[in-house]
Amino acid sequence: MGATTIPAKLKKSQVDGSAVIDFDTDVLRCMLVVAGASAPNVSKSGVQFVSDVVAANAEVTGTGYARQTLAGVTVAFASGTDTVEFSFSDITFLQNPAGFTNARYAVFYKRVGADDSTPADDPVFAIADLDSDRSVQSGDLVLKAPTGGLINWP
Amino acid sequence: MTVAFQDLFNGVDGTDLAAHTPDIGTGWSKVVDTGSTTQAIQLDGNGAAELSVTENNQRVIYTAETAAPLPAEYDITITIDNVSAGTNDKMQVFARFIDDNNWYCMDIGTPADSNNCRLVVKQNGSVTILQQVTNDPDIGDVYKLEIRNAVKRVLKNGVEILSSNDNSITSAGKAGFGYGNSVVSTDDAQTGPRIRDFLVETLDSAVTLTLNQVAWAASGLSVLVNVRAFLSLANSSWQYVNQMLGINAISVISLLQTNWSWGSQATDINARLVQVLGQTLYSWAGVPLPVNADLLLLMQQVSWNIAAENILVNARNYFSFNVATWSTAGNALLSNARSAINLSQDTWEWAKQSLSVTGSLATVVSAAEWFWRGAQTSIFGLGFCADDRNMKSDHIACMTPDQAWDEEAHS
Repeated sequence: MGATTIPAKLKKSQVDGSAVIDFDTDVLRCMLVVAGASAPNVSKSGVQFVSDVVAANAEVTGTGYARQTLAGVTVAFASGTDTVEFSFSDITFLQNPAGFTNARYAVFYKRVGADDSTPADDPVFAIADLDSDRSVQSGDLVLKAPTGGLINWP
Repeated sequence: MTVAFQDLFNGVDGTDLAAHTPDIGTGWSKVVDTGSTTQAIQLDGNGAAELSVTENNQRVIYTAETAAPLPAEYDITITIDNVSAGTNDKMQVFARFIDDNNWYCMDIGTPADSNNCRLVVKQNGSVTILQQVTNDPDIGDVYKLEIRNAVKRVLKNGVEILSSNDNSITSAGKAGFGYGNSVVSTDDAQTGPRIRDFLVETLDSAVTLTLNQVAWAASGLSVLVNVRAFLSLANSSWQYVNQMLGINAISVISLLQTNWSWGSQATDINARLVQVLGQTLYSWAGVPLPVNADLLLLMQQVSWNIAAENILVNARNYFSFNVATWSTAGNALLSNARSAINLSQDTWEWAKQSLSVTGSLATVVSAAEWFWRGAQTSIFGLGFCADDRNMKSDHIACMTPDQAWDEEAHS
């Protein structure tokens, strides 16, 4: 599996308080985007909000596709260490014969407001490279957080 | 999708499907035949399947036998080979068929019928029409019955025409098809309707992707540096946590960070010619440090704090420690240098650890103060100089290759 990255702007906004995420209480979501011309730019001149991501990497389309809210979110110390781990339950995008075929990146973000209608204020906190275009036309697509969580703070 | 069963209905005209081997799958079973005379679904000799005889207000059903039981979610696709010009001449495609009283089906009538496409469930003998539409079938139309726990759909030529969220029958059952009055008692089992290319597909296994973990700080990674000529790490501040640094350089390594903090990671440094560790501040904890240099090794830290780790130094020609303050506790220093070793710290405090120094040519120990307690010390060298103004040790044994010299004999 490809790398998971954290946008530099998210780190800064988290530290300076301009767009803070409370990882165990905020509504955190996962969306899928296409490969586009290149991977989303996670440098300090790159993406910060959902609107920044979809400007270059369009969200997938297909029957049955919907963004998923993360469930089973945990923020806890790793056993026996001082490392803080952020994890969640498996995310499943259901099979659909007319579903998407070209999901390349999973984008994790905080939804600000009651819905996803204001992507310019929804901060992206992680982008996972799915290695290749993924389809749900013949089977479910399940995204699993690794042992120790998707993000950790050593 | 994975094909679990397929029959193109090729074979001798008039062959009962029960005696016919499908293209994929193990066979067909006639499970329902309500007529007073025996009816069969048979090959028509042209790649289709039809009833052998007509009986009004009756039905015949065959199930497709697969090599392995079907999962609960699957698709059944058929192509219309012929439709009747009359009314009530029905054909059905069944899913989750348990028995004649429990199943799902798509029920296809004739262009002369209204509501000639229906999505139906029969549970415990009770028929429920989940959804119906008038959408005339024609020769060549492709119908798909899609069975999912969440939704049942009928698609005609790829377009959804019926759907339902009903999931009252959850068992996988079998796939099948038939003709006649399975839905409406007055429908007929006529020889006119025919189907071809009966296909059952199951879902592929879910693709599970375990995402890669990312650390919020720039740590938790391994750094491996391999250079042939020269490596200089001269960052003003370097913080490395929980990762390994592996450095292999053929000629020169120069580590000249002003501030180097290293914790809980393993470090492996190999240099053939020259290795200079010249950090102003060097903090090292809980990890082994093996250093191997063929020619020259210089460690010139202003402050070196090492705790609870082992240091193994192998330098072929020259080995020099010029640390202004060296505090080492509970660790072992093993130094093997073929030509020269120069230990010239201003203050050297060493407690409860072993020191083993072997120099082929010269060994110079010139610490201004040397405190050595509770440890075995052995120094071997062709030439040896202990130039300390204040040497304190519970036990020191310094030996040339031909002579042993112990502290008691010279006390």
